Amino acid sequence: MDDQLLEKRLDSLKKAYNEMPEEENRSAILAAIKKDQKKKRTNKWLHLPYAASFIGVGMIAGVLMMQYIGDHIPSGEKTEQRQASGENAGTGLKKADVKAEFEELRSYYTEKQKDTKEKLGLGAGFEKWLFLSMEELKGTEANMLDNLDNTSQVELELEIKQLKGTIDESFTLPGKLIEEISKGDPDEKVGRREELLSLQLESYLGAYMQSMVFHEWDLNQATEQEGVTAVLEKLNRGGKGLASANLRKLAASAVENGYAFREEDGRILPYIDFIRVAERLKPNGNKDFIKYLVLRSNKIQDRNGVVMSYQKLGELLVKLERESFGVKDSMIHQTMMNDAQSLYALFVIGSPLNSLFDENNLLKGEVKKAYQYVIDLYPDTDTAKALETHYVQLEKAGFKKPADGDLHVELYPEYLQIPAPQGRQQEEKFIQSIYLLPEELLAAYKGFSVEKDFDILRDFGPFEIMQLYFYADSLEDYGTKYALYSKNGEKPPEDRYIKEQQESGHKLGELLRGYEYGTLYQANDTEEIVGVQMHFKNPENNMVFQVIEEDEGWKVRYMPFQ
Amino acid sequence: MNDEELVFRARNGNMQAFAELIDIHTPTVKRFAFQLGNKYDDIDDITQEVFVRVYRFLEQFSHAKFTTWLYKITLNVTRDFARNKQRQIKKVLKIGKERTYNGKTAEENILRYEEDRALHECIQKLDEKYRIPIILFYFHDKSYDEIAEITGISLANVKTRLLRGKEHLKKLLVLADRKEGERHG
Repeated sequence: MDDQLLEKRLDSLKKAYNEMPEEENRSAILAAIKKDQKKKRTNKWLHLPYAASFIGVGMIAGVLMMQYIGDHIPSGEKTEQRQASGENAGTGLKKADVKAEFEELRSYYTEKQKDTKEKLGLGAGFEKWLFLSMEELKGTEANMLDNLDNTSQVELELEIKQLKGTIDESFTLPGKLIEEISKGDPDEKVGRREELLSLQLESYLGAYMQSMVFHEWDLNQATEQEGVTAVLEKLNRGGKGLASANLRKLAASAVENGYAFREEDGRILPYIDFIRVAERLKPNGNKDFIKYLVLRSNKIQDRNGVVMSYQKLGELLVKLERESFGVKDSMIHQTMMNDAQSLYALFVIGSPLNSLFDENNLLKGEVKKAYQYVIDLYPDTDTAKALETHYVQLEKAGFKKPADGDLHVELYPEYLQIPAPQGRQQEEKFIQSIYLLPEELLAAYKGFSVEKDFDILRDFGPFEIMQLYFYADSLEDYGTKYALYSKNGEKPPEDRYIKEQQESGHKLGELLRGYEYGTLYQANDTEEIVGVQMHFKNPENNMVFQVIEEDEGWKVRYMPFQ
Repeated sequence: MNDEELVFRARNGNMQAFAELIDIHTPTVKRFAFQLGNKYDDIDDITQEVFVRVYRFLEQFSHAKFTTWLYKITLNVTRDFARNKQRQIKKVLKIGKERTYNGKTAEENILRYEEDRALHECIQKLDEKYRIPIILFYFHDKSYDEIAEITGISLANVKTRLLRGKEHLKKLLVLADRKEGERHG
């Protein structure tokens, strides 16, 4: 066979591969991510740094989808869970029952949708931007029909109830939430209502943005006759005095739901009027939540995420620091900390859209000025102190851009209490070879390989446990390697594991090409040690060897490499 | 919006940006996973796991090309998947579903021509060190540099493996064609 023929056949195969069906996977993947994240996160608060206005219409679908899948695992997965937990399977549920329930749910959805669109003052054509799509409901129904044998009437009812709850939340208007919160108890902790308000404000903003295209003609007419300032004023008064009935309706509902209008790039566009929303929540809304909304009114990025003023970004960081001290509500406090962390990183290392360095790889003048401004004007703040350290380093380097690998936040403001970057300078580095076991560890290995008793390993840390894992693999001592795994979580039976290992011919040592040293790896949220970060010559190869603290010792997570 | 921008937004909590990354890259991940020799019935599970890991480690991702990282994760997931007990269970559950309504396997439906199927199978028979560069070069239009980055081998090795891989593939194809010829008399 010649090269030409082979290439021709490869080309034909490529075409066949490229015609693979492209089925929709997004919702299942997002549901799996949500499930995975649920295990890790305790703080569910929606965290959106202060660039709210860059969130375009596309955001809506995502936010609502995440709401939708929040507690709604596809029924197929639930079936598997039930089977795993040994719960009863089929109880004679009929296809017609499921179809009838979903039909009713669809009618409910359609009614809600119509009503909400009307109340938002939006015309036709916004369905797909506003709410969870009907396709999602159909998908859930199809899943349930596929798993009919494993679904009981009670489970069907539970599913429908959950979906109904999700639809209700998705169609809750910001105006209604504002009203409810303003009538609440100021001492009540921030909860789902406030979280939902944040979500809904962002969601419907996209729909309003989109709707402006349809009102362009009316807006042009109005601005030609009265000028932009007058039209804006009328829009922000809820449409009173505007000639167009459509515009009046749009403005009235937008203002009622927490939006206002302003001129951006020669266009009249809606935005979330955080200040006014905050005002409307007084006097009974949670004070910390109100404070947070006021902070959110600081717009520092444009619609595309480009920083408009680094000085304003610096000022916002100082405000966040100062305001955070008086915040009692833990959820709001954490949200502000998260925001401050993201924004500080944006301030000192930039982003793909916001490079802090010019074409000559020198720090941009406006960024340097903003740093000096914060350092000079707010010298007592932690933000300024951390920034000064960063500035001095940059100065030493002649304000030249560091190599990509060195572009990281060396030191966060102290009040953020972020140990990792501070620890970067002091963090313990395990520079010894993974395979070179100290005498004590080697002796422990010998004992453990015979007795498989974790008491023998109790005094060793994550790095040593990782060494043992590699060592066992190098000796093809798969029984010991297996014994190092955590007793919790999924893993195959020992005999099958050993057989598979023997047959695989795959050596862990191959993973160590370019390995340089290890450090402890902490979870972002809890800061507990969850692994050993393995650093490689090429940082792209860095990976984490996952461990878990169990029975006062360290064990290896099954499939530890991530 | 490019990948880097979407990643940046996703890291800052924008789920829609991440959903866009999923939409953009799912076909590539699926194709790559299938080309690596995974059963078509397992592709959705693998794709799901790839994106779960991407999201889980989004914080750690920096300054690399997103697709390079994605290919690496797909490779790792595929390797892990082969050892995963859960997959074994699912596989048993799915046996009944393997054949579609027209009596063909999912693989037969994708690779409708015998010649394509034969080549697909021959590629699976190649050693991984040849298979991956060939798949990346011929089906994903990756350059030598990109293949070197994804696989972690040197540029020279990429070239050698591609050449040798092609030679092995030709031999395997001749054998397969001969067998097919014998089968049809």
